[in-house]
Amino acid sequence: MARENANPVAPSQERSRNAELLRKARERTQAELLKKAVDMSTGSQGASLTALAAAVLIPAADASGLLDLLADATDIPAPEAVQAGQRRRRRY
Amino acid sequence: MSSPEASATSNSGNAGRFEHDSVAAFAAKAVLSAPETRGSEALGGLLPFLLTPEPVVEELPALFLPAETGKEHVDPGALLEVAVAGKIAYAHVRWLDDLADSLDRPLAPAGAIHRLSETLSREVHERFAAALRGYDEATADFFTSLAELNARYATSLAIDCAFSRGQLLVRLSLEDYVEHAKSRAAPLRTPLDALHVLIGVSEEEKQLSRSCFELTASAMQLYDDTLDVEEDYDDRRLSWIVAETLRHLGNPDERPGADTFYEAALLAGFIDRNLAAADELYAAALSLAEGRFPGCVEFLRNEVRQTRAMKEDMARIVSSATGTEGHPSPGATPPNDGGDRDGKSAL
Repeated sequence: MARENANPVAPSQERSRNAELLRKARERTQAELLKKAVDMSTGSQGASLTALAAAVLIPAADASGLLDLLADATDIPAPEAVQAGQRRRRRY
Repeated sequence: MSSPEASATSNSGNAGRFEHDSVAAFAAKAVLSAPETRGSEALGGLLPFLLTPEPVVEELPALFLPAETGKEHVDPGALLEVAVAGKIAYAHVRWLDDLADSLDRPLAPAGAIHRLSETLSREVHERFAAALRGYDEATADFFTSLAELNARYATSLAIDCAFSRGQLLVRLSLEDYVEHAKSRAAPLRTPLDALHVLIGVSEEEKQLSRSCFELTASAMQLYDDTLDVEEDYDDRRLSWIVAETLRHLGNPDERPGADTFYEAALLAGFIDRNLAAADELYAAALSLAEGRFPGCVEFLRNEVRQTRAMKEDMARIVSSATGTEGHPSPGATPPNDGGDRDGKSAL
């Protein structure tokens, strides 16, 4: 009894509170992961840097043969490979 | 990482992006054109990392152009070669990371993996050599440095694999982990080193820009570790948060459930401490970049803002759960970081 009085938070309340903690923390983390995924797919992470790079790098690459090369080398379609890359982004 | 749905939806028509991403396109063409690549059983594992646009990686050498260096003083063809080599090196490292991280997935035959790895190394070397032709002594130094960076990376892979197999680390201080994170990204620094050869920089400038790069790389790793903590725990991958939370829980023989683990990471303050370290590393990188490497500044400011927002939100969530809103979180300082620098900077 004394122990219960010393701790005003009942075990069930604590469990419920910690479940809420986990839910909110996971929600916030998922929101951040989603934001990063969108940033990557739209290139917005580097958008502010593109102007600088474009002034330095040769901007007009001839990409016309790339998909043919890809088709020759593998049977994995490019869009699917790109999406898989975004899922496997353990190290930035 | 667990948010494939959004990227898949917003990624439709990605093949067309290569018309604009010259570096990525050149890199992909270079690799796919190599005779050894065609029909390689290992190629499927590499492609995601080769084809995924990564603006910061592809623009890396340009980002580190010193403020006082006019673009007209840089050979654009050489810089493009350096950027393409950097993109291939990046895909190579990411692919090897993925192989090391995915021990439960079927691997391509070892011979195919080695042959593809050798092809990538050769493509990288040839491009760097072409870009740096004529800078004899500096080029020799560059390739010596490249070998050292690859050795650092190999060491980081060995440590990660040992942890994944269940070997416990004697201890893992945050300072040690930052060094480990820098080594994980070590070969990605090569475009920066090549830029130094092309534009000619003093030893002091070289060290400052290398520090800026490595601080940024380790900050990115720590930040991502926060987002991936549950996935990393589940997959037995090494991060400071995972190792220290397990240690806090007494390294039990039977691994705690996901909720128990995450709750401990939050309430004992490891998430908070990890984000604080990422913030500190980003801020240090930014202070080096300001006035020196203008191409990096906006990116780093964004990363600092993002990290601080995440840290504040997570601290608020913990405080609201522990009834300490308006007060410092009781978990903000973990009982022990496992190292010898408790309470000190991660730098």
